[in-house]
Amino acid sequence: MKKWLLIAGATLALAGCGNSNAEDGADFPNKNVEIVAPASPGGGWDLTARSVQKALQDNELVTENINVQNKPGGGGEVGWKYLEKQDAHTLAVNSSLLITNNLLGTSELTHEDFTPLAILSTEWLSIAVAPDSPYSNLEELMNAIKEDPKSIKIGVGPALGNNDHLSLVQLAGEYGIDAKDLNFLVYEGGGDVVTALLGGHVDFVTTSMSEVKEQHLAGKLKILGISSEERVEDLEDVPTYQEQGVDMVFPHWRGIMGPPNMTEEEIAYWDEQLAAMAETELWQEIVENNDWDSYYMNSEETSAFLKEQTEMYESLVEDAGMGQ
Amino acid sequence: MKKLFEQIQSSVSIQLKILGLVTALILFIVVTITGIFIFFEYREDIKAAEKMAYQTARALSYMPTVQESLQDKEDIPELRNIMDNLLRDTNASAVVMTEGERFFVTAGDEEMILKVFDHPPIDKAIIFGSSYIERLGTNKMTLVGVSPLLVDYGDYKKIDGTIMVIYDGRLIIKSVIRESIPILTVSSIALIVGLLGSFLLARDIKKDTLGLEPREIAFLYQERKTVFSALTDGMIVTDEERRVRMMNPAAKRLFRVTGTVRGKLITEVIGDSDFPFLKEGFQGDEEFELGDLTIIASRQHIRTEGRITGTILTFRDKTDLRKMSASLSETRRVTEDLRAQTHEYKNKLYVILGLIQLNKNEQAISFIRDETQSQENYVRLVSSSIRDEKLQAIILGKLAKASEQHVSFKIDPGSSLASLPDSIDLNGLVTILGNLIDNAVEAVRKQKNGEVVLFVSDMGTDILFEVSDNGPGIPEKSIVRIFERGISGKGPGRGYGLANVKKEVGLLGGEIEVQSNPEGTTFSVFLPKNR
Repeated sequence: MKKWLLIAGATLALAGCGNSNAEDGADFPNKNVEIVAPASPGGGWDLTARSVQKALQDNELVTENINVQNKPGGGGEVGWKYLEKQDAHTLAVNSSLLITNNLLGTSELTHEDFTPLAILSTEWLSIAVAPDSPYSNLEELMNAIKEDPKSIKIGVGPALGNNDHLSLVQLAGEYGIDAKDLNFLVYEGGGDVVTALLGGHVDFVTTSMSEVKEQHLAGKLKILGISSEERVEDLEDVPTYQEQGVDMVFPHWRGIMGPPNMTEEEIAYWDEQLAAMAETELWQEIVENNDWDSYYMNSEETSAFLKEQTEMYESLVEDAGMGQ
Repeated sequence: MKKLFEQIQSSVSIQLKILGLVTALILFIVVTITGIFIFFEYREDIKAAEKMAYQTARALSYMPTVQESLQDKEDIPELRNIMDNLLRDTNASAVVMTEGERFFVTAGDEEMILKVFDHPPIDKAIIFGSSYIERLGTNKMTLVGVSPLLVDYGDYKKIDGTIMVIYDGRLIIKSVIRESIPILTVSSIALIVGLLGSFLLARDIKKDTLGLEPREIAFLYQERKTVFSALTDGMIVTDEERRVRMMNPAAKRLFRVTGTVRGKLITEVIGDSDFPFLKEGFQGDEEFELGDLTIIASRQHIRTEGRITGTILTFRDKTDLRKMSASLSETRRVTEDLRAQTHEYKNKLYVILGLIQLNKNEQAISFIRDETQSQENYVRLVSSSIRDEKLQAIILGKLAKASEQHVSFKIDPGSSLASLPDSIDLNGLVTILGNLIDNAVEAVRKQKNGEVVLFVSDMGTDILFEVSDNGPGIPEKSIVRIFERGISGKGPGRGYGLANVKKEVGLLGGEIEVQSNPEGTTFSVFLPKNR
């Protein structure tokens, strides 16, 4: 009898807790907020996470404490797996790797396992050659590859399957080049790729525009094309891929997402705060300083965008695999 | 044809039914369980093979010997050695290493290698550097684990080739079938045990039912029920605790019981525990009274293995029999009366014959006239005071008999009776008056001046009959028992007359009284006019 009373009491107590939680739901967030950077400190994801932290806190959009957690490993897999089991007080930075990891067989996770909250910014990708290169535009370069693909060495880093690599696979596909024939040398990172180009070890590189911008301005290398829709500030002399007759825009976007099963209120809260953040001067300044472009989309737009991106990458991988 | 089929169907024995059902059940379970086992085992094995192919391909692609063999051809024997070991240690059918897209070194089953020769599934590994599983062939029965050979050149890495590890799905199916042999064996044993068990069960059931098939038992039950219902004798069957197991409609009618009685104590059902047939020492047929009925009960025990496990009681209603024998004796009495009358007339005829032979015609004529006169007088007397013809007939019949016995039978001059109500039938009247008058005549016939007087009256609400004699009277000690069955002053085998009289009077709702002293006896019967 006593046992039953205890159980009944416990149940009532739990029910009581449930109620108070529901009331607190109106005061979300009610504890420290965590932003996961699924990489080591210093990379693009880490920088994005810390920028969001700073912009939200300095503009007093979120009054709770915000911590950045670095969880590197598996091309984002480790950090995102961690996020999967958290509540709406934890967010994680993401990029197209969330989609391509799954497509290329290195992860089971997809964007559908999470709650997309926003796309924040994008970088643009570029193709650069040495100043003394025989190729002065995209078409000359691609025709040369088409003629003898093995003879032209391409620098890429830090791994195949990233956007630097995929954007070139797509570009080559547009020129009817078999992706299997492309002669990629894989370097440790963006810096090493540029060094290899400057040292004459490779014929051209595919990398973020920010990696080669300074050297281009200094005349140490030459950017042949950029994956953006329009020409970029400070690099008005560099034509886009589109301008050079290739119907292709390729953003290297970064976004932020929450765990699965968030309530509508929680989604609405983050939607509001992140939209407000994207408007702040501080955030604009960060975007400018990092050579990013503002690319804000709210939760709903992000969902649609991720779906569209998934389809794009699927056909990209499939077409390349078919040997086009 | 249809009849034949029905015959076959109805002749399927319980043994065959149980056997068939159990066999079907066990077969179903065995097939289902084995099927599920094989299905899951196959899925597990395929998964395991996929994982194995994937991991083996990746592990090989990282091995320095494998990577170096592309540059240094001297490493190739060592590479072959590694591949052969791998094929021995795993269930893989073949391993292929490509340089770019070109086959470089292969080992294992050539048939399997040919399956990937035309379209090696290595594009994704070469382009994107990813490792994965591909399933090839029309039935997807060829599993290929693919991994790129990312060769380290110091400053950079480069994909120089791929590793393919090939598994034959058909071998997996074969091994699954091999693995399910024990479970099939166990299933077969279960099937045999089940068959044996059901055979024993069926035999046991048959033993319990004395070798009868259920439908035969059902028929017997139906038959027994019908027979019991059809019996005009009452029948009650009780178990060893004297609870009623069965009571047929006739028994229910006798004991005036309705509704279900099964399982109730018999004393509860028939409402009395004093019945002779319930007593320990009851010895077969014995009569007892139940209301106005005369019942003969008999008892028979049901014995199973020498022990009494039940009792069958039967009840025969003897009332009808009694009635019949009573009316038979009345008929006999009437015949006797007629015979006496004939005898009387014959005597008188002899007198007349004698007188005529002696030529005393005048005297003969006067004798006939006197006789006729006295007969007519008597009849007139009877018919003037008693208008009921039934009663007249009885009285005239008794008159002859009394006359034969030289007993004077008179009608009291004060008698008067219009007609008897319909409720009083001739049989009852014959029983009542016949017995009373006969008894009275018998009581006085040995006296010189024996006289019997009948007085009849329908004044008031009752009809009154009074039969008086001037006999020696009834001894005082026996007067209280004269209406009991078998009690008589006339010796053994007699004594039903007054009992019957009393019963008839009772049936007609009347009463009977007796007064007796050494100068005579008078029986008075009162019968209500309206019932």
